[in-house]
Amino acid sequence: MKALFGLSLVLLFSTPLYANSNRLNTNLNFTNRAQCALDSKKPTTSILVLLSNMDVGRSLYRLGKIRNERDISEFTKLGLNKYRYTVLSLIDIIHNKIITNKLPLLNSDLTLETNLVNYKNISEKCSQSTDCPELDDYLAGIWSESSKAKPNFTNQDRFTNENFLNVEMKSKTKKLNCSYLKKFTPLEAHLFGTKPTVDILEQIAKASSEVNDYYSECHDYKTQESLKVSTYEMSLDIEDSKRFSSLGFDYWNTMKIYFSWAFRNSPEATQLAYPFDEIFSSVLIEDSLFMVPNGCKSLVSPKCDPATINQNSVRLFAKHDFKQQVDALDFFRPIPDGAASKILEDQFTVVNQDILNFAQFETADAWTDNFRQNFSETRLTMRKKFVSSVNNMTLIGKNLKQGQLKASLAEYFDVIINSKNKALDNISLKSELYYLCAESTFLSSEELSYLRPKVENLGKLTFTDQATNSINSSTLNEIIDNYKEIATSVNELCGSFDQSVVFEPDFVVDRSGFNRWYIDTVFEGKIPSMASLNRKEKLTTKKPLIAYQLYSKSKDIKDVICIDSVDCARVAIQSIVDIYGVIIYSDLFLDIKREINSPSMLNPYAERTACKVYDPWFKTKASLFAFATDFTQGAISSVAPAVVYGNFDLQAGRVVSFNQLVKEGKIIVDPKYEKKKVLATVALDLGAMSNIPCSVSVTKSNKLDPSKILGFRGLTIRTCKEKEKNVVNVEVNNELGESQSKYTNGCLQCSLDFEHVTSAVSSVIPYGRTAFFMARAVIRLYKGLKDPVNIPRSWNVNPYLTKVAYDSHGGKIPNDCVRKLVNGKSCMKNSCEDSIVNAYRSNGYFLDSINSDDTWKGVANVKIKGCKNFNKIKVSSSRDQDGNETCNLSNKNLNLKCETL
Amino acid sequence: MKKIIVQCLSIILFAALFPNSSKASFDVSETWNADLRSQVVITCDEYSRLCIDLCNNAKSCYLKNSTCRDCISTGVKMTYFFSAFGKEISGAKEEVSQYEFVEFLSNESFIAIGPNNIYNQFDAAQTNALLEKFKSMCPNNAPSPVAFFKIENKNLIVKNAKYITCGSAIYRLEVKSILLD
Repeated sequence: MKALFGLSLVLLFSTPLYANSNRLNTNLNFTNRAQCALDSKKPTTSILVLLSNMDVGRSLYRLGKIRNERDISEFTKLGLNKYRYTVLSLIDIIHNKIITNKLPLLNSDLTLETNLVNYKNISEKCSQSTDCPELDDYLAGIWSESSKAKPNFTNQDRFTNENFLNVEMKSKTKKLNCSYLKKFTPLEAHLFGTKPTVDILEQIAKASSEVNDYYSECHDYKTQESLKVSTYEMSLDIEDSKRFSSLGFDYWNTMKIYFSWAFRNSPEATQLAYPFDEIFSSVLIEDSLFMVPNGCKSLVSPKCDPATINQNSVRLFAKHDFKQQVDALDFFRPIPDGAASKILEDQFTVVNQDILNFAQFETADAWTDNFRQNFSETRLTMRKKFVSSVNNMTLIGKNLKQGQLKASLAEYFDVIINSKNKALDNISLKSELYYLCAESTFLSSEELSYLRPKVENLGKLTFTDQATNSINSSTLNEIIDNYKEIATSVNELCGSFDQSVVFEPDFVVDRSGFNRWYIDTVFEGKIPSMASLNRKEKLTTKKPLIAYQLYSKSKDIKDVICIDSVDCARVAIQSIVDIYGVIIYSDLFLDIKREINSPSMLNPYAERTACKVYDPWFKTKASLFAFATDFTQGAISSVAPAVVYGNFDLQAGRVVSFNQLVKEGKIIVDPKYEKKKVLATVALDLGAMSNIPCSVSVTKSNKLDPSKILGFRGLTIRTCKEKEKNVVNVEVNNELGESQSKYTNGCLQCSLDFEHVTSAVSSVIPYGRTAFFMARAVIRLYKGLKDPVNIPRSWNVNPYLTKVAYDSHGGKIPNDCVRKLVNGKSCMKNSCEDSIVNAYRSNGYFLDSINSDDTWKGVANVKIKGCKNFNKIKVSSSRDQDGNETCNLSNKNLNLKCETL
Repeated sequence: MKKIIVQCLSIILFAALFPNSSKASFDVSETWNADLRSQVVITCDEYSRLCIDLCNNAKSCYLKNSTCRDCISTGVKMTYFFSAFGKEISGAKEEVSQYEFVEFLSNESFIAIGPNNIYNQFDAAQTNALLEKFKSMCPNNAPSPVAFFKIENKNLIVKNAKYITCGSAIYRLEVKSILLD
């Protein structure tokens, strides 16, 4: 059939017009929330490639200066175009190697059984570091084999047929289509709305006429105006392949891993990049490249782990009003909750309604640039925070002797702690003592701090070791050990005096003297912090205890580590808080693992579904009460999920400890789960807190409705405000059964928060890096079951068919065409036109227009896309049994003359 | 006349036999050539060890400079790297002989980083902030120092700082926090 094509039509295939026609013939897949959630488990065939030029651009500019280039901007531009060319071409090379079976697939999920023994061993060794020569050698061996005519990979690993994507080589070479995206338009409508309506279809039709305004060739750099970023769309031609649905994640994993290696090391990259090859091989390309699935499907199989959840929170950076929202974002809180808690707060978040604000930007590059700027600025802030706090702790640890600290603090505060002279009213010294003790207690009190176990966990992390080594600092393990010594000294000091005597009734502390992190966490950020100004003032009268020598010339507080022993202790506490804040989001911000970012930016249900916060197949059943969550890798063995209830006869306002409630049978565990294990894990989260008698409070109501089941939310702890001293006499009962009780006077208040839920609460306990806190009721899920968006639905719209339908009906889409068009079928003004359109389309031709007025005479006029002329074709019309007119075309009609434009 | 000639000849002979005895001056810099290859350029005014051994007696030559992986980035390592100059890295007070430096350049994989290197993502291209830091590492306040690091597997780390060329003098680089006493 195809051999009959006229020469001019063959030429048509290679024009950019054809590429765009191909795009118009690709279905837009619309999904509702439930289908989108389901789709998250499937590998995508279409991606957006977001490439940032900033880092390499700065280096090229400097290089231009060094080389004394006449026109540095032109030189930089040349380099940047070469950079884009290298990146795009390399992706294409890797794809072609995979699709011709010259490159085997590397398994994306190594927790499953795999025959790739070598790969698995090497990956495990390399998981904690970016510098991994063994992996480089492994990939190099395979790559060089891939250049041979008949590659044999047996020396590298035990590859089987399941590691080759196109093993049967049944069909023709499957291309990786690439377009540069100028604008987000109705041709991305599947990202903007769920069910396609007449209005959306008409917009799609209109946009289809202007397709060349929206896309251009990937290597057409004239159209890529922004020097900072470029946005590309790439799609695989294997839409219905069953094989891809089982190997798709492996495909993308392979693409990412080889790209990282090949960009730096392959001879192909050197050749593509020349003469900039030495420069490009020094780029941390993973910082500059995002591969985002274009729709609901995924590039990486979503798991319920911190890496997935954190990565996906990158969506926030795409918002057009990011800068205004900054204060509300979890990343910037001194003690972040972590991304996991966010998804629980917003379980039924919106999807497919322009969640990334594409429509707010004129061009796709403008959107990408906004995203790039928000993300990389935040990322840099976090990295600087990590570097300076780790550095501070290293220097404090090395230069502050512990015995010294204790003695020095005692001396510093001696006059207010031990003095018998009550007339001595040193407010500023008392305030300093107050700040020190409150901040330290909050973070590290054995009895009272909820953060203490989290901080202890920081000390167990080893994945940061390469990073801390590269910045000449102590490991987190050493840092936490040093911190613990400091905390011990401070806590001993704070426990050594009677607070009610030192902070006598008339003493009012100025809260603005607390550090920013404390004010934000305890006082909800409602007052400004003067702590840094106070430090600067101290420096006017004192020589700093630990500072760089530079300080003697610069007099800049940035060159000071800490000023005196109190300041050193508070700086240490602040540093630990900062480190904690960054580590929680380390997957997002720190360049520990060298991997190309590929979050499911367009599908917030990817992580919600993986974590079973949202279950798209969920129906109205009593099984609502139980949820299971998956745990992931790491040495931590998973604990069965806990389902915890509070019994309704709890009295609000009563002071009781969690353990006491358990003893009294007020905390009930779903019988399906082993009570001991559940309680043990819940207790782990509460830590030493589980013994603290706290006042029971029920959110929003003090009256408990016996018909409601209570879910347990957690233990919160607050320090008191200045006039509420000694709010709670905390009775600590020793769990080992010793009968004496210890009273600690502390300016602290705690409450067990219960909340009414109509369903179960599940909680999972944090431990180390691979686990995170997940809790909670799904009240809204219960209501949401009645919501139609929870039944999976999807629609397929073919833009080309929509356009020809639109034209056929005189510039509109009639209502009764909607059903056909949203199912990927044609809907022309008569069925003869339908036949004509479909006949040409199935042979790869697209029509600009059809005139079917004379079909009753046996002729029709068609204009093929890309041709100037009209062609008269012969049709034979007939009526089928329903009385509908159909047309038949002979094969000759496919061999048409075409005067190209 | 004869006396003068003999004196000149003996000076020349002396200089030829003992090239280091006069304070020979040399210059070391880091640059990129027309092919965009990274290079270290060595030039010598008088005959000095550097040029004799490394340049085969020529007055100037180029050495291949290493590149480093992930150095064009704002990653954790590079965020720290340039701020460390003058704070965590400084030049020792005693000069190092040209022999030692030649040994290093000949036998070790090294990377030379100058104040105008292309890896600096943190200062505006027009400022001299990094140059000031470099200068502070030279005991003799030379105008254009170049820091030399040992490099393994293209991995640049602060701990591998080795030498700094400060005009015609070479000092060892010390990696330790330079704190106020």
